Amino acid sequence: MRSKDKISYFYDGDVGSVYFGPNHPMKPHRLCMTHHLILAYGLHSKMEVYRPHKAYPIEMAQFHSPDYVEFLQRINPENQNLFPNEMARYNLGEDCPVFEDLFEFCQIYAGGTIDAARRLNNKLCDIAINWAGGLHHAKKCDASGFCYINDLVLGILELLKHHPRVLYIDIDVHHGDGVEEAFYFTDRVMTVSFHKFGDKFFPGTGDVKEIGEREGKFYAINVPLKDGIDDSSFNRLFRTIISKVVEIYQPGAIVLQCGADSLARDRLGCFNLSIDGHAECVKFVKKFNLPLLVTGGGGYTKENVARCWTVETGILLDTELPNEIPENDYIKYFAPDFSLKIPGGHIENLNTKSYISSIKVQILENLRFIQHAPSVQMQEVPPDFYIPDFDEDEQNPDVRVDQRSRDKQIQRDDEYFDGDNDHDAS
Amino acid sequence: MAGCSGSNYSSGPYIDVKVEYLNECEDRLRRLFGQTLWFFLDEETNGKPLPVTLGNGEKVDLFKLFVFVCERDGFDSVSRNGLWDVVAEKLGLDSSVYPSLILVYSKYLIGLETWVVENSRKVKLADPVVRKIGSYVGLLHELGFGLKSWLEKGKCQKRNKAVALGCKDIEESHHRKKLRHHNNNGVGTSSLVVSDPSVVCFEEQVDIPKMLKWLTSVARSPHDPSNWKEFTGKEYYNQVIKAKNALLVQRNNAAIRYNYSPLMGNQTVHPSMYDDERPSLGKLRYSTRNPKVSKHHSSGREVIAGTSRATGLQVPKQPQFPRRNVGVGPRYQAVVDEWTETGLESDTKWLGTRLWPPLENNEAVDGLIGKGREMSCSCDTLISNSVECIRFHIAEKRVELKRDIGDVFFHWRFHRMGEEVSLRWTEREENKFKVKMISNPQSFWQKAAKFFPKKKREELVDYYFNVFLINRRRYQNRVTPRQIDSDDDSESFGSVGPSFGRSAVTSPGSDIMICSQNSQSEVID
Repeated sequence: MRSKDKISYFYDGDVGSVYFGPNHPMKPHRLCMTHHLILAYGLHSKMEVYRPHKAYPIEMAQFHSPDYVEFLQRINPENQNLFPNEMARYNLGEDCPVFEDLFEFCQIYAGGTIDAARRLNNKLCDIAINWAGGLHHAKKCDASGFCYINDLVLGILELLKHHPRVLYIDIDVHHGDGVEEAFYFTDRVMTVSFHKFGDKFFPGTGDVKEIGEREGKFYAINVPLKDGIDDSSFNRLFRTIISKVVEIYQPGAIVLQCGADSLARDRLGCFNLSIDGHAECVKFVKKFNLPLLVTGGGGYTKENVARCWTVETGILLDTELPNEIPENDYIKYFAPDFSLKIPGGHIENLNTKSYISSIKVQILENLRFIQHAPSVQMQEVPPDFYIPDFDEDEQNPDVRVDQRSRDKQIQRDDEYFDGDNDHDAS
Repeated sequence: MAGCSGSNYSSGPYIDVKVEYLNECEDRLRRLFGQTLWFFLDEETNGKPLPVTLGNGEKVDLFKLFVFVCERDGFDSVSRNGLWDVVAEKLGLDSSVYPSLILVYSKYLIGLETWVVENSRKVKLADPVVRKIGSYVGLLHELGFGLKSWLEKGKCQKRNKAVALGCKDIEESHHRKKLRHHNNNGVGTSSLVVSDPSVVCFEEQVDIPKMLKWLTSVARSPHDPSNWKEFTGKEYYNQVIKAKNALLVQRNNAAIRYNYSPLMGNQTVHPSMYDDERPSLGKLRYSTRNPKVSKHHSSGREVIAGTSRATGLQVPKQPQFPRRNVGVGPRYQAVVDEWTETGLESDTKWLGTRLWPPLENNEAVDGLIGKGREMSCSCDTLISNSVECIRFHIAEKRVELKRDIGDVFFHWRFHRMGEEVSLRWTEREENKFKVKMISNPQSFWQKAAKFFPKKKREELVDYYFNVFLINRRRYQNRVTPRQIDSDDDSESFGSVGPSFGRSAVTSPGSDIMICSQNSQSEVID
């Protein structure tokens, strides 16, 4: 446990006035509330707060196709009717509406993750936080699931410049398909996603059988779960799998997407995790003492999102936060309890013990295949030290033989007789 | 294939209809046969060539071959009695090619025959053979029945009743929806709604459009007695019920098919785990337990009552197999370079601008981190914990924060947070906002620029989240504490107090809260 982790926290004030549109569940205002709550608890004194630069289109084009990025730049609510074909091609319009300052919003959250990755690369901090990021559904050439630019992929690509292997962990209730797809064929990134699967739940991918292909085979792990999983089962599963993965894969850095829609009573999610259960995952990953990039993600009940990410910021700062929320401008959102705890959900837990253990067994089985054939060297081989030979004749005869040299002249007891005592060489 | 309806009652063109019937039935059977066989071959073996040709290049009609052999009681008896040359002749081939015929039969059709002959109606899932053949069992049954009765019919052509296919209810179906009902004569007529929209065969005595009409009117007003007046003989009703059952079977089938499909290998999870009461056609982003949310993203995903589509021509979407839906190719994957020992240069220029702690001050402030809300405040006991007290403390904390972080307060847009935002709005503007938002929440944002020409969109959004929604929460917290949901944009909105945001920032004492009768909400806990 390091004495004091240096934390960098990224926030841009303009993100609070982004509005996706009426009836859209994604509300970036939750980031404003989170930041406000963090400051109300005074956590800003323990970390460094940065405003990220706005990502340039050329940086986004490191992953995304240039025409998609260019289209995002050009499109706005007034002229979207003129491009129905492109809108359909890039999957814009319904789940991913075009709203004012859309591209600026993308620049802010993508810039945050890229800056975070760079700071980690240059060892300016140990942990970097960007709650605005974590939009893991965006694909190379189209938007998906409220995500336009995949900041996680951009951040991981940045981290890959300094680390041979990066581990990506996703605890959002939806499958992290954008990130998995981007790195499906490579073993330099291992993607692990815990999500709800089945019942045509978005996005529909993420079965345990999806394990990657070609060089990336066995380097994608999916943990499909059913409705209503609770803290204990989830944490047990998480700890087992992640500890095994880190032990076998030995990543150089970890990226953790903390989507808060896996909490109970989320508008779109259907798990039963409490904030403590969710934050346990963050605590566990922090213990590995690897460079860590923490991002946000889903989360559609604003107040629970704010609570959750504040608690997790506290955990990353090794601060236990008291339950009573201090007075702040948004305190009314936290009624009636005004506390950091959220009431439990009432969804029935459909994950039987046997189901969970069968998933675990399958995953651990798949992990065994990685132990034998890493394409990138797992252990860093230290360079050979040059040890000069000890030459007696080179010693200065006028100087008294020092202890070291004298030690070297001691014969071992079981050494064959040498010199005058050697009877064989005659 | 047009529906063959009404054939039972007419006596005149009886024979012709029957012949026509036979031909149509034969076509149907032929098609069935083809499908079954294809499936059989696909399952059992790999790549037996079709169509079948003999050594001399002549094509063999498998269907006819099958029928003829079945007529003569199967492969074994034909072989025993040496009837192969007869069969060959019937097929129009030279009788000397019968060894090839035997070969062809044993390769392609022998398994099928065993199934048809066995004719087990109810499928026992525990049966390992069933499990292997699995999904097209129903088809085989149907084929079996069809053939049997057709052969029977072929023999006794002088029956009075036009018995097409003497089928009883069959439990499983494959790739088709089936509606079977017995009409009043007790004669079973089979009705097939084929999944191929180009081919619809529906024999019934009742008109489909009429039935649909009846169903929709019943659904709209179930208590209306006029709907039920036409409800004679329960014909519509039976049809509807059977259609519903057929659809359910189709769905259950899909689950079983999923489980036992050879593509998926051994699933350890029983498909009933995935079952749910809710109709799940199309992709759902969310769980539909919250009825308010289900409105969202509803284009193209209708929640269809199973029955109303029963007689339609469309296929319900096949349940999605979790096959590899991951996109593959240069349009999907990121470009990941090979790892080199030294690594690549990571940019040191764009690392974010440090806002806090400010650059001059590098000392960490410890101690007062993470303080929560005090249990009791230092206010006078009279106003302690009242609305005014809380407002005072919020304002106090705000000032403290401003003092603490200085200029960064404005960088982080704190000056646009909180109910103080309303200070920049006149009372008229606030009222206008409230009225417009309540009256038409959906289109408010599109026309917002027109309503408030002087306000920028950011200001509107800020006001919305910081004042409007807060007030909604205030109302909900007090009046409907069990139904708190500030995220639901469509909910109707009540308000507490006469003015809107103004009351947040006036000092206590000057304004007295005017109590008014709550005429907005019926639910008061």
